Amino acid sequence: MLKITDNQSQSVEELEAESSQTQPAWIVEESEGFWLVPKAGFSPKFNHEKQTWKNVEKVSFNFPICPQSNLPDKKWAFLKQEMEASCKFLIQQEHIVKYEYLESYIKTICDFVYFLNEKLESSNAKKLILSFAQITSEDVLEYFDFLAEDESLVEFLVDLVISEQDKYISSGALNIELLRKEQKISHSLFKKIKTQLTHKVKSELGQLSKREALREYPNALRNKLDREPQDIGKISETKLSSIKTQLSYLFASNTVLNEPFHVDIRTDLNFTDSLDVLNKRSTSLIPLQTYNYIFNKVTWFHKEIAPCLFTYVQDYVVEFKNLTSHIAESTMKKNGKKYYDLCFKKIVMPEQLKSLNISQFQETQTNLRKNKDNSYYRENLSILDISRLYGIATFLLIILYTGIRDSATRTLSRDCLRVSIVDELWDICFKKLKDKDTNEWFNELRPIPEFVYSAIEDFSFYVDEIQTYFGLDVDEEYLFPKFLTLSSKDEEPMSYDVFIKWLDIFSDWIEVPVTDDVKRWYLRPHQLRRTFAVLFFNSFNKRLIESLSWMMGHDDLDTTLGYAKSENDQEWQSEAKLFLQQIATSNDQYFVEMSEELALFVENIRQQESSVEIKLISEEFDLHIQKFLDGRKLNWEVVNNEKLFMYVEGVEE
Amino acid sequence: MGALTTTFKRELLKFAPEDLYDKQIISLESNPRRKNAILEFYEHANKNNSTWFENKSLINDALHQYKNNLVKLKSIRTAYSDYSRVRGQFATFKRSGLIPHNTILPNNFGYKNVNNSSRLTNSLLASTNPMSLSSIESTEIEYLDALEVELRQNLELLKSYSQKIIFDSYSKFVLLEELISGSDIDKIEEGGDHLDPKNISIKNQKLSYFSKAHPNGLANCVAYIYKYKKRMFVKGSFSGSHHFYEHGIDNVLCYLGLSSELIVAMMNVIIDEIGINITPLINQKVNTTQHNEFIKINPCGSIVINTLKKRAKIVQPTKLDATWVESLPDVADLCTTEINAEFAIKFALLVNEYFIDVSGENYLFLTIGNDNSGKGIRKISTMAIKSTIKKFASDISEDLSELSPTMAGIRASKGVLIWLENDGDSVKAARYLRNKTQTTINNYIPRALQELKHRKRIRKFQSLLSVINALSTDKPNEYLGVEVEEYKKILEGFFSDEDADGWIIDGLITKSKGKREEIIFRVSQESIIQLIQVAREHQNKDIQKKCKSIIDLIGSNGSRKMKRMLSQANKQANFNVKNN
Repeated sequence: MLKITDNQSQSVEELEAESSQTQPAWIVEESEGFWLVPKAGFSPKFNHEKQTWKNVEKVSFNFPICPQSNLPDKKWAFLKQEMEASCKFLIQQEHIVKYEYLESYIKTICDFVYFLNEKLESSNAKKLILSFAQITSEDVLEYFDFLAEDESLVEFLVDLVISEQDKYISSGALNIELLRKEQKISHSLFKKIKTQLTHKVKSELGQLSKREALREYPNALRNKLDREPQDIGKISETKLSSIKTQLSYLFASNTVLNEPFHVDIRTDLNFTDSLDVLNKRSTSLIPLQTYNYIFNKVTWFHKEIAPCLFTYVQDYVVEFKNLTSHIAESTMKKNGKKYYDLCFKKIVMPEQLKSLNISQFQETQTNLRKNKDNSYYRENLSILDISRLYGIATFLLIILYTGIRDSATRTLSRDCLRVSIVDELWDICFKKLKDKDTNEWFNELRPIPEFVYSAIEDFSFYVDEIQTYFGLDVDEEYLFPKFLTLSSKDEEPMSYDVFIKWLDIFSDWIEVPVTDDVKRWYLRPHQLRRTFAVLFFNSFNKRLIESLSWMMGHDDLDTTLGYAKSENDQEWQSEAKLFLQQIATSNDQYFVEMSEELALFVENIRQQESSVEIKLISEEFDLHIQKFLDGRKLNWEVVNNEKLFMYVEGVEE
Repeated sequence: MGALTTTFKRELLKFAPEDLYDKQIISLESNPRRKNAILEFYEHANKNNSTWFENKSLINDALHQYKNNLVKLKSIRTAYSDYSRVRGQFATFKRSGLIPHNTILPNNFGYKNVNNSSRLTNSLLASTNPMSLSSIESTEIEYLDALEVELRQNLELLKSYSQKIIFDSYSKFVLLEELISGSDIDKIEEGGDHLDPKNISIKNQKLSYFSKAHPNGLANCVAYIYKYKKRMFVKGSFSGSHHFYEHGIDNVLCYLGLSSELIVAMMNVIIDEIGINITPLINQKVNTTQHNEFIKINPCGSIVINTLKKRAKIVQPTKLDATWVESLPDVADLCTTEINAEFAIKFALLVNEYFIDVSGENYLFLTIGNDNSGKGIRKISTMAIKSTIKKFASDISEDLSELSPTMAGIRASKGVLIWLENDGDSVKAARYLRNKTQTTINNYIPRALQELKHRKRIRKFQSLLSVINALSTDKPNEYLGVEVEEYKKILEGFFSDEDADGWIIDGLITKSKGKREEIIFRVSQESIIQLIQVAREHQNKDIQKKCKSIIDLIGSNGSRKMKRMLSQANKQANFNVKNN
């Protein structure tokens, strides 16, 4: 099964010598257990004060390779060298484009080797895997068989844990090691089912994650791990094929092994049945009604709230400066809070803002918020909180109208607005990563409506204003700077996690309508992107795909089609159709009220558009056709002297 | 072994390592493409490190350095091709074990980098260059309209000029018999020196039968070649041949067969109509080849052309419907504007019939050469086409001549014109260009033009989004921030927009009050085939739409049996199209 190849002639020293000779420039810093590599799209900077690197990501090698031993251990020196060489190869050959992805590659390989080692140990073999050269294609197949095996074990373990809670659960957390030892489950197997197990146990016990706990309602979107009962214990095909890709990288990059590696997940491996085929699902579509609600709320925020918020903050800042100009900095630090309140009481709140229950300018007592869910924000809001919500509203507005990626939106700079040289209308300019070698950005211009243009402009002025208040330099770069979170004042844009947290808060704050089963839709930026694509595609009757592709920044039309198709979301479609019908019916009255002329116009179009209902029947049905028609008259559509289909005309509802 | 010169070999020996030299020579002999790139690589590698081939990492370094150096010296496209040749060569060495089998060969430049500059070297027949938007000064709509008009005009000019040439040649060609019978063909060979004893010039010399001064000069030229020289003209192969130049070779030959002007005119008409690329058109075969390339005239008069796309390794069939079923019309019945691709091909086949027999060449466009090699019949050269089309342009107008049209440019222009005429429909343009949609978008339609269209559509969609959301509010016009009158206009535009006819928009207007129709479709193998045909070809848009929606329904909601029927019927329908 395992083989030691003869051409494993290179010693560690040789390999080391070779690797040091060609140490690539992208490894910013090398250490025992990790590499520091540039974050995609950023150039690393060395901070001399703190003696640390900025704009870097850590690629760790610190993964277990056999029970009680990790890859960086001395024992595995050769393997580690090989792993490093393999990583360098993958980057050089552009198999892996973003440096930080290397970590997941290393992890997959380590898991794989762990599996092999454990098996060797259990069979009392003396030699463990010391070099990739020992690995064969059969091992890989075996590993895949192991991965795809149906696990009824999870169910069993969950039941066990629930029945013996005292034993396995200590201070709310599952004692995994104990469970493993008692049940004598191999490490590899346990690794595979661990996430699922803990998740299941948590949901059985009704425990929520930190983020979930803050939400007012449960999320209407089904969770990734929340599968159908019959699918429990199965590995998804997507996951499996990513493991396959990464293992094939290993075979491609290994300098000792040159054996080609071909595994076709569907045909070569005999476990198609156990695969969760439906699992390759695309991003969920936001129900149109919810989408519409969010859309309107975002617009409402920009039209109603934002202008008075801006004037209010301006007034406040001026007043605050007047009040505190004669006070020393040290006093401010000590007794500053009192001035916040003083100033807050002095400035008259505009009418539109009063209904928002704003009680202070900035949080003076953060502990008040502890152990409270997001509904707290509807009752107690600070100006700083609403600034963050303003940021979220702007963020959503941009994606709603453009569908650009959330990372591109987060990294928008404050001077992202342009007037197009092409059509002299409004444009947004966002950055896209050009290529990894230079870590260069290049600008992409996409159209936006005038309203969005002015909304972004207002927001960037607003951010400037807030910045002056905090005494920060105004020449900050980003439209959504990190300082809105007050956690850090450096120049990076807001992180994804913070955005997500505030998106949840925003969803609760605007009170997205709850579904019938009392759940709320907590939206994610990528859902908006996909919904944008689907709406475009279905507004133009599945045409103009190349324009959509351009807007979404895709290289080929197939990717766009993948986004825009909604055939697999029948539920979404029928919901959307129902909603559109509702709008149309509710507008009837409005059309009439507004003007007869318009009502007539709409009526005219409706007359032209006749709805067609199609029924398919098989040939045998012929005999009963009259019965089926219920006495109505039947006509044949005759084309080229042949009967094509039958139709019944003028059916009134 | 003619592929490499001795100088080249000597140079190679100087730089290439001994181990690699023999193999290198062998592979260069069989494929001398970009041989200089390989030489340059060896030279470059040696200059930096004379022991560069000793181990795998040094080889890797050498390749890296060469690659990086290339970009500085050459354009990215050239660098790409050069490096691709060198890398390919080293892959061969790797396979044959001349260099370590685990040597890492640096990848070539990204495809995107290379293709960014698009393949629009075949420039459009327009005075403004639509390659960059910054050059456009007028507003977008005006510019697009102006471009459309200009392209159409220029293409029309070229086409009508070509049609005229074909018409003239055709009227001469049908006169051939008459011309020969009126000539002195029986007497020409009598004297052996081709001099006419009855016609004396002013200098008291016998006139040549072929001379321009001879009353029957042109007819004699034509008749002589026709009868004695297998319709070929070879310079100096008989006495008096120099007189042919007095008439102009083309003027003589056009009575017999294909002059290059006629060929280019025909090609132009064909390209304008069916968009076959120029290279496959030059190489178009008449009789079936091993690649299944042929031209066939069906009994019903329609033409089937199978064209080989060499690089894509596919044969593309085209069908042309018949206007002239039996034979080509009389000159008196023919109108210049009637001349189309069908006429051009049939005419070309008619004049070619004899030459294909005589020469054994199997090309549609054969021309009569007048070179000294003796072999007079060959396919037309690209140079001849280039110069002829330029001559056309300068004959037509000065403006057109300045645009220096090429055949590829004409095709690209027509593709762009179709794209513009159909409001940016890339599928239609792709159908004309006989490409994939992706290829059309990437290589033929200038990015800048596409962006104009994209912007228009995206802005339209963005306003659609606003309206949809406004409709769900109580006061839509206030939501949009417009007066009632303006809101009415927006709504009118919204509901009557032809593009926006997807179910999202339809859902907002098609209500229960409208007329409802019920269609019952009886699913059977035959009925589906018929359905597909009607959906594809029927004139009535309404019926077409209904058929399409039935097909959609079968595809999405039909039983498994029905779906199977649909897929089989689809194959059958495609088969029928090919066979007709």
